[in-house]
Amino acid sequence: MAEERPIPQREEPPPFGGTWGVLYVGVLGTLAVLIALFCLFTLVFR
Amino acid sequence: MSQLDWVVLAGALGLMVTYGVWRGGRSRDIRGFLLAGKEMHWGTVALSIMATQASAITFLSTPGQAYTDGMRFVQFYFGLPIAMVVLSITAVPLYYRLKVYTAYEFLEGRFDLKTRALTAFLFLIQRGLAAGLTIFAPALILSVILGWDMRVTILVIGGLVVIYTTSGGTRAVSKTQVVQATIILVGMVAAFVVLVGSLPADVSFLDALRVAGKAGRLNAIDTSFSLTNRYTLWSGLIGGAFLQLSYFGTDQSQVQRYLTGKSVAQSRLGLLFNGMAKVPMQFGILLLGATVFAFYQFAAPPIFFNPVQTENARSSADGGRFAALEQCYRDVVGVREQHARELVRAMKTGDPRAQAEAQRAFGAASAEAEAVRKEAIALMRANDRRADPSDTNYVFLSFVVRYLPAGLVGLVLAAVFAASMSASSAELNALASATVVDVYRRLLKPGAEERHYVVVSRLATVFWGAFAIAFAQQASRLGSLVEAVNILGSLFYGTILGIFLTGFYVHRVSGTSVFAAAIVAETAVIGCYLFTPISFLWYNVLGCLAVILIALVLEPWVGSTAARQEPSPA
Repeated sequence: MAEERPIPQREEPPPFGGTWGVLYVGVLGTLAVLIALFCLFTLVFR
Repeated sequence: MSQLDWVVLAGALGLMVTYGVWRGGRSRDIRGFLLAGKEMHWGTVALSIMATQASAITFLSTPGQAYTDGMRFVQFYFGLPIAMVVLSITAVPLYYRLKVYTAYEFLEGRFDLKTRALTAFLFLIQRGLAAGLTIFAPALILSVILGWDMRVTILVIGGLVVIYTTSGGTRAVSKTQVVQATIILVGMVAAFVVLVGSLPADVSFLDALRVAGKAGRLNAIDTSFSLTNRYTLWSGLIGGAFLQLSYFGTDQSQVQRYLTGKSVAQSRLGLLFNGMAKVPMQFGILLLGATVFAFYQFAAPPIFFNPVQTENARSSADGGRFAALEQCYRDVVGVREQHARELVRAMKTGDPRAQAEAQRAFGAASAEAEAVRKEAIALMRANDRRADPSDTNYVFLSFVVRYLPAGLVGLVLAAVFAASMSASSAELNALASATVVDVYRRLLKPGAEERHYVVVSRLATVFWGAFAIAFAQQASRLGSLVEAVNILGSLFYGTILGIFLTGFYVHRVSGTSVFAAAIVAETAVIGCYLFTPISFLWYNVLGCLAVILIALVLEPWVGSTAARQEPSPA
């Protein structure tokens, strides 16, 4: 008798952006852009 | 305060309490009272998360932080977006799958009851004290501005929060937070617009920023690496990520907010929106403080922003000397203002030599003004040993009262109240949840009717409200409030996060090992706080890693179980 395996639940997709991975990259990318802008801000007004 | 200010403030307070009681409804089961029936849209979840984290302390102390120390505090929040992504991937689906009411339920299934109880206990202590600070902040405003008795003010603020939190539970908290977030946004934007409009006619906003930059107040990024430097890019990204992971992943006041989402997707979106919006929001609040600093380069600031302590110094035995110092300070800041205007003109000409000369003169005048101010503070302390040498919390408030028009003062105060009430209501709500779910229902009276637990939840809300109010009475002895809250959190968060991460990822560690490791790690963190100069953000890393490593070391000796099954909720 074959071992019964749990069927993985299909993840609910986000309402926008396509996949969750895109949204995660978007959040981290925004952070990277903000840090870069803040560096620029610090340098410009030093 | 004018009558119009009073009308605006009273109207906003009335709106918040009435709306909270109305929208909270009357839940008959614990799922409705503690999780708002799990029916919230992601927008409500997002605003609720943000409003819970951003207390009145955020809006009072952060601008003052920028005024005195510059904008480097923004780095504290750099770990937050990272934490939001990690939690969206790991904790949110896990908590939903286990159908938990509190984060600590997970720990009993994974480890044992004593680990769940210890973690819930650490949360109750830390969050109970923090709730006191959250209520204290607006009470501080009224006592300073209106001379109200601090004790009465704390009772009034705490009482308003307890009314709608006890009445409607989590639904009341979340729905009211949307209104409160709106009031906060409108109030802060209005204050910023008036501030920029109050700059001298010949000084543009950009000029003001340049002056603030020359005075070192626009130092948003510090790339140096130091364990003793409080805010750097690295302490924010690494230590901040650990702190935010612990706060949002294991602190019931935040876990409860996103557990109200209709689904995993709605909760995730709420967290991710916070990850996108939080850093710019904090930057905006700090920029407000830096702009207040720039404004006071062209207008005379008080020698000390706490008017009560200033008045005490004036009427002390050294009052004459203090008055002389005040006059000297006015003269020096008058000279500084002239040099600030010369600096603006020099920067407009683009002549490097003129600019360097003007900057040197401006720097010298600023240093002289600071020296006089420090002498006045020392004199103040010599006459009153209990006098707080920090006036960071009063900087923004002082500006609001002196320069904002009638009506807007009331609006900004309403925003500060809204911030305090939104954060403290979530805290009381979470404290009640952990008390009922992790202590009362689990240890004292399991198997009772749902209505009974709802009644006990209401009583627990009242109890924690009273506890927070009692602690708030002592909070005035602390320095910068925002740092006090973060330091308090960092003393416990690392250990709690270590317990959870061990539960999530280190399957070979059992309950007894992690329990002993948590005790040792917490002792070590408190030891670091008391006896070392290590900056508080690193406590989160230290506590977390200590729990995981010590648990791994202890496991062969005290552990009883190897791999564990994924837990089911208790």
